[in-house]
Amino acid sequence: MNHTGTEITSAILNLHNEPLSAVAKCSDRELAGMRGRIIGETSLTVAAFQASI
Amino acid sequence: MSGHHLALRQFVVKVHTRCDLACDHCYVYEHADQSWQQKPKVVPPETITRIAERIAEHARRRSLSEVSVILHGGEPLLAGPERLDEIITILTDQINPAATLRVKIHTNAVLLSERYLKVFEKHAVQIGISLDGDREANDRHRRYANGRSSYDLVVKSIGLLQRNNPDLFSGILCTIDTKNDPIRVYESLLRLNPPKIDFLLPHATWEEPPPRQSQTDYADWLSAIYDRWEKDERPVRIRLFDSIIRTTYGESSLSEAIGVEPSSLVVIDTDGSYEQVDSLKVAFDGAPATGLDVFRNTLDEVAGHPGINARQNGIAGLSAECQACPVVSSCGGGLYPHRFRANSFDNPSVYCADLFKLISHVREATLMQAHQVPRKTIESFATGFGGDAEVRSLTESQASIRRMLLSDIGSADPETLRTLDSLEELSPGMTDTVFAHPYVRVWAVDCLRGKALVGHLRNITAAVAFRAGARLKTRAEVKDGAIHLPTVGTLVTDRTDGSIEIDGGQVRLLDGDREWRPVRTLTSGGHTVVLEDADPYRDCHQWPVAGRLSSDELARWQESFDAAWRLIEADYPEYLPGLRAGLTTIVPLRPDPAGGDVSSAARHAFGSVAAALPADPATFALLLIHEFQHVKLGAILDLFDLYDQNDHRRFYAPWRPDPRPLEGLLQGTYAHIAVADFWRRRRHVEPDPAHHEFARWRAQTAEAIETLAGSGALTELGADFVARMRDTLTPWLAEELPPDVEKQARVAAEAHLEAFQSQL
Repeated sequence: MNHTGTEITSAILNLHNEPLSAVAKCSDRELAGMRGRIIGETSLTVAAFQASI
Repeated sequence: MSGHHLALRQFVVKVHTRCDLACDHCYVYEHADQSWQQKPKVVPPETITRIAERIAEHARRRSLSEVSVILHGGEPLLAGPERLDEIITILTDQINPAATLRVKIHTNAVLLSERYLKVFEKHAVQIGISLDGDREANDRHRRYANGRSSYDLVVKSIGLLQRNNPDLFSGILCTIDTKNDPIRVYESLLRLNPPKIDFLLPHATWEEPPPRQSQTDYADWLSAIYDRWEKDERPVRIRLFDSIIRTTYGESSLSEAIGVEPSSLVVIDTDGSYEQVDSLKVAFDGAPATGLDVFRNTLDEVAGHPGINARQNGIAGLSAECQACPVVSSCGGGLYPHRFRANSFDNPSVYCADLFKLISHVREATLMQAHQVPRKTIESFATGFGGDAEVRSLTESQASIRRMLLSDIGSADPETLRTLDSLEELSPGMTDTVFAHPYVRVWAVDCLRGKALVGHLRNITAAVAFRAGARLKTRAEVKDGAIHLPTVGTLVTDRTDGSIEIDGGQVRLLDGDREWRPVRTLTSGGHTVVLEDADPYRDCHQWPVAGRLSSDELARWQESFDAAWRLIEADYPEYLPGLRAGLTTIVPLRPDPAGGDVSSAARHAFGSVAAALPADPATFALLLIHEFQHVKLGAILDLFDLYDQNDHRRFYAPWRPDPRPLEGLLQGTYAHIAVADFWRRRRHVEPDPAHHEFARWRAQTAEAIETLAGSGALTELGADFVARMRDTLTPWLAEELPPDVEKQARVAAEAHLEAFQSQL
C-alpha cells in the first residue's frame, strides 16, 4: 500500500480501458500480484533485507 | 511495549564477523561504525541457541506462520561447513516447531565448495552471492587485502552451484560503480544465468556523498540497463526494477532499498546483541545499536525499539520533501541510512535525484496504472458510512478485479475471449454490466482455484450477447439441470448439451425442451435489486440458500423489501446513497430452523446481501445496513492492506463465544458500528428493545475497537481507519441511557468475558 497526501495508490490495476484479450496477454507480467491478492492468501509485505537476495 | 508493534519476521544473524576479502565499499568494515572489532569472530553455540529460542518465542507469541533467517557476516562461510551445519541445525530444531523457518545465506562465495553445498542442500538454504560484474568491474573493489582478484573463484563457485544445486541459487547482488560500463556488467551477470539480480547503490550519506560526475550518474547507469532489460523481454528478475514496476502498480516493493513497506528486520550480532539494519553502520559509529541483546531481551521488546519503529511508518515517517514528491510511493525515501545528514534521517536520500529520474524513466515505460482512491474516501468509509461517490469508487475497482479474473480464465478459452472483445466493441460497457453480477466473481475465483469449470465463461458471454442484442451460438454450461445466464435468466433443461442460440434478445436451446425463467427483481424508491434465486454460484454464504421462490414468496419479499427501504429512507438516510450505489442483489436464504434472523455477505460477492425473509421491515432494514458494511469493507480490503494477514493471532470479540482472527474482528466491529447506530436512532420509535440493543452494541463495539487499535497488527492505513471508527463511536458512549439498561449491559459484558476466559 502506497499513498501520497491526497490519493492512495491501491493494489488493483485499472483495467477499464484494456480489451480482455490484452489483459490476458499481460497477466503473467503485470497482474501476478493482483491475482495473488484476490485468488490466494495474501500477507502484509515487509521491507526485505537489501544485503541478501 | 510488547504486542503493540509489528512482528519481526526477518532475522539477519551474523555468524562470522571477519571477511576474507577487503572490498573497499563494504559497509561493515570501511564506514563509520567499527563495532565489529569488539565482537566474537564466530557466533558461539550458546548464543545461537539463545537466538533460536528468542525467534521461536517471538513466532509463537505473534502466531507467525513463517520467519526467515539470513546468515550473514563478515563472510559467513568463514565459520566452516561443520559450524554452519551446527548453527542451522540449532536454528531449525528450535524454530520449526513454532513457525516454518526459511534460511538464506549471503556470501562472497570464494570459499564455496561441495562440502558447504552438502550442508546447504541438507537444510534447503538459499544462497545469494555478491559479484559486481565482469572481471574488470568486480576487481575494482572486490579484492583480497593483498590486491588479488576474487573474480575467478566467485565465477567458479557459481558454476559449481549451478551444476550441483541450481535450486539453491537465489541470485547475485551487484554494487554499482558508474565507472563500469552498465551493459557489460548486465551481460556478464546474465551469462551466469542467475535467477535474480539486484543492483545496489553504494552506501553513502549526505555527510559522505557517493562518487559522481553528475547529479544523476546512477539513474543514467541503471536506466541503460533497464532499457536493455526491457528490450530483452526481462530475461531475469531484477529486484530493483521489479520493485519500481510493482510499486507503480500499487503493489509492494521487494526490497528495503525503495518503497514504503514497514521494516520487520532485526540484525543479531555474534555476541547476541540486537541491531537495527546494519547498513546504518555507514551513518555514524554505533548507529545500528539498540542496547538490547538475546540474553536479556525478547524480540517483542526489540519490535518496540524506536529505531525499528521509525522504519514502520510508511510515508508518514518520511521527510516533508519526500511526502510531497510525486514518486514517493515507489521511492519511499530510498534506503534509510542514505538519508543521514546532520544527525538526522529526516531527509530525502542522498540519491534523491537518481531515484526520481530512474523511477520516472521506468514509469514512463509502463502501461497500466493502479486505481487511485482519494484519502477522504477512505476516511469517509472509516467513519462507518461512505456515500454514492465513495461506493462508486469501490465499484470501479471491483470491475477491474473481475476483468483480471475473466481474462485469466479466458486464456484457457481464447475463442470466447475474442467473442467478448467483439461484444465489448459492439456494446461498450455491456461486458462490465454482466461481469458486475456478484456471483460472476464468486465463480471466477472458484474456477481459478480449480473448484469450478471454465464453461460458465460461455454462459457469461451469452448473457452479454443477450443484453447487447447480438447473435451468438455457443455451447453453454449446464449445471443442476439449467443454463444460467447471469443478469438475464435461466433456461431449464433436461439435456446435458447446452448448445444455445442468442438472437435479438431471445435465447433458444438448439435441441430440446426448455423453460425460460427471466431474472426477477425487487424495487422500492426507484431502486431495483436482482432477487437472485437461481445462480448456481450463489451458494457461497455461511447459510444454505433457498431455492426458486414461488410467486407468493416473491410478493412477500417485494412487500418486505419495499417497507424496509422506505424505513431506511426515512430514518437512516446517511446509509441510503451507499446502498443505492452498491447494493445490486439479494439472495434468499433458507429460514433458520431455530427461528433466528439469518443474513450474510460473502467476500467475493460484491454488491450482494443474502438473508432469510426477515420477520419485519425494521429487521430487514437492519440486516441490509449491517451486511452492506461487510460488502464495503471487503472491497476496501481488496484495495488496501489494513492489517498484517500473516499475523494469525485470534482476539476476543465481545459478541462471539470464540476468539476471532483479525479480519473477522475488524469486519465485525465495522458492521457493528452501523448496528449500534441503528438501535441508537431506533430508541425513539421502539425504546424496548432499542435501549438495550444500543447499550449492548456500543459497548461491545467500543471494546473491539480498542482491541484492534492495540493489536500491533494494523498497518499505518489500518490504524488510521480504526481511529476514525473510534471517532464515530466515542460520542455515542456519552449518550444517556436508563441506569438499569447501562447496568444490565455492563453485567452481560462482564459475564461474556468471564465465560470466554474460562474456556482458555
